[in-house]
Amino acid sequence: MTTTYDVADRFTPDIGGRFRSDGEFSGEEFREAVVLPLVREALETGRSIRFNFDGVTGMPTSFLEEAFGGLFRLHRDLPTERVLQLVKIEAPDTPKLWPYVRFAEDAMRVSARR
Amino acid sequence: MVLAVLGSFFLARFNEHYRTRREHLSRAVDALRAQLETLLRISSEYWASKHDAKVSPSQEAEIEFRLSDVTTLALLCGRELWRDQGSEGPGLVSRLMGSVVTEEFGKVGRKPDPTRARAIASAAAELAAVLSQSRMDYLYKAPFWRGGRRNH
Repeated sequence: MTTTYDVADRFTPDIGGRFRSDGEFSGEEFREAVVLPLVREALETGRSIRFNFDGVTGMPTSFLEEAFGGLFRLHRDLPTERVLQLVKIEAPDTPKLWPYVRFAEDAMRVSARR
Repeated sequence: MVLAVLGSFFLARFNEHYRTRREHLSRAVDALRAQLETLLRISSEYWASKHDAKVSPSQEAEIEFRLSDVTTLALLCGRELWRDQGSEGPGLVSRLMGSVVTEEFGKVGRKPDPTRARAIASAAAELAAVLSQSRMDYLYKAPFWRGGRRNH
């Protein structure tokens, strides 16, 4: 079973910077308001979660690093392997975003190893 | 006679279409190499300096812009390397992004890391080399009906 979170529809199509101090729709805000609650819910229910970025105007790398890399860096209680299994990031209809998707996945793995 | 006129018309159109495509590909690869050189310079300077995002986020913004442009150009240059999220093109660009943007990128009070320039140069060189090879393959290995020069 999978839950899909459509970022453009439910968060914003115009993604912001890394920190809340950089303005609206930051990676920090996304992590705290969206990613973390959904990850905790996924851990309880066992349902995997897909973050779908199709429809966003762009994906700044600092936003992604903070939202997904910061997940393990700042919330050390999370079981890394289980979360990596449950969280999927995708933008299947937008080829331009594929490197950003890979970057976000790598950011999670790098911070999980530390 | 009519057939000959129609045939020559379509042949000319066909030739023009692929000539434009070849030129477009060559220019896109050249533009990508220029963008990679600029990205390498500004990101190396960024990591070698003590620039603080609190003073001005302009350096981070410029690096993000260059990364976005490199992504677009890489997609234009290497369609065959871009089949899905797991293919080689997105992987190479993602590696470049990972070499430039770390957890310290954009942080207030960031410490310089001059050694990062080597990782950025390595990732940029690999991307440029693969896309240049991809252009060569397109120009010299593709059959003439796909715009290549084989059998010419």
